[in-house]
Amino acid sequence: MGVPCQDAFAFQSLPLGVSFIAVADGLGSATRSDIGARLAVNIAVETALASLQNDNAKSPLTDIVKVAAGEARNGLASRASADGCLVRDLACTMIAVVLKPDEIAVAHVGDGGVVAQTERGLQLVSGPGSSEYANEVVPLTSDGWEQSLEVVHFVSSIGAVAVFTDGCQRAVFRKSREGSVPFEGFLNPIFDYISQLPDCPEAEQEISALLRSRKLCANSEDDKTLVVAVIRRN
Amino acid sequence: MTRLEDKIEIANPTQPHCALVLLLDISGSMKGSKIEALNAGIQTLKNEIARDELASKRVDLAVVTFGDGVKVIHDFSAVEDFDPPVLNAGGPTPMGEAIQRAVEITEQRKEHYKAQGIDYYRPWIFLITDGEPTDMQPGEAFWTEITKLVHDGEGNRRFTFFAVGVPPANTRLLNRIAPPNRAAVQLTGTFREMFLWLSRSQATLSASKIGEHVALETPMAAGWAQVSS
Repeated sequence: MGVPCQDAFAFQSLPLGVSFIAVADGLGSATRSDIGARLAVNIAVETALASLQNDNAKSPLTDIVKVAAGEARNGLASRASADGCLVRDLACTMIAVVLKPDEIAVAHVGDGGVVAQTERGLQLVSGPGSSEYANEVVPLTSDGWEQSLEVVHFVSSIGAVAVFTDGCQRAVFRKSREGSVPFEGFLNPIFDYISQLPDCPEAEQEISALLRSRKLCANSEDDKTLVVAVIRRN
Repeated sequence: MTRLEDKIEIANPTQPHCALVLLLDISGSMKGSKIEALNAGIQTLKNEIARDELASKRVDLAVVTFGDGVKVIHDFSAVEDFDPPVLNAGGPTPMGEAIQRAVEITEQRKEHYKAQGIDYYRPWIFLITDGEPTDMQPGEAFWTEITKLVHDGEGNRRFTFFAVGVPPANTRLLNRIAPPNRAAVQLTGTFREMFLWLSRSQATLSASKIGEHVALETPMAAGWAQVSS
């Protein structure tokens, strides 16, 4: 409809079994949020990678994701002043994830979420913020972003992880009194299917086709991003 | 169908909802062309929202009138079931009581959404009047109660409150009722233009994510209103 996709994601896997994933959802109300989201995920992943390489993996993972989100925020501010626009013109959410086979760290501002498949079934690692209304979020560009920043350290034997923007939320979460509950009927078939595929390009095609499918688009007109990481243990 | 699409189910296939209350002055002074334009405007709103595929699934409309008493003449419904009776003008302007009623049904609607597990947007209360309240005056306890209800409700983000004055509305008083962050506007265009804008705003809202500021076209930019003084 003439509006660019305002979601963006970036990821990087290292040979030592460490992966970084960042997803961002540019706000529909911000004029250049597609640029903001793209910039934010690139900076987050580069920052996380650099932190890990610089300190020989001594920092806690939570520090790595916190710094990644903070640098993404700084990057948006610099870009706004370089381009002569307001930082809120670049408004986007941010989920920065560091993933190891037995732990996950997440820095999260805004909606979307992270769900892990574990021996105890699906576990919510980080969920959408507690905003009452469906379309209101605190973005990374807001002045109060640090108060809204959720940092999570999740330890468990992990089979697979899904990181997604709010366009997938109604597919992923059941509503209950306790809040958002990950739904097996959506995520388990994806995890099972993707883990049987031999390589990334084929998995990417399948996820991309799913996100464009009628079943998903009937439930959300929003941009949708779903990053699936499968841990292979040999 | 893709292979993966066949395997998955959607956790929560309901649409998020967007509640809109039309809070309408149908007192005696609205008689004649104004009430006709208002009736036509409501139909325009219904038709425009119905034409928008997404908004038609998400917007719930209710109508509260004040004139010969305060009435919820149409409780919340989807646009396809929205069929309010033709409005007839008459009576005084019990605006205070009407505002109270509109806030009440808005809160009830949110409770209903919560109980059903339906996501929702911040509701809108859209007041249109050509006069001034006859059931409250500045300085009275009821005036204080009602203006506090509006200002706190807007301030605490319980709803979004718009006040539109149709000439010869007392816009000075209307502005004291309207929330401080959203001044009352004065209708300078047609009712039709106003209702077209309202339907566009609902379509934009029900399809977007707005964050810290709302990128809606203002009534002034849309050309049907000016800021009242």
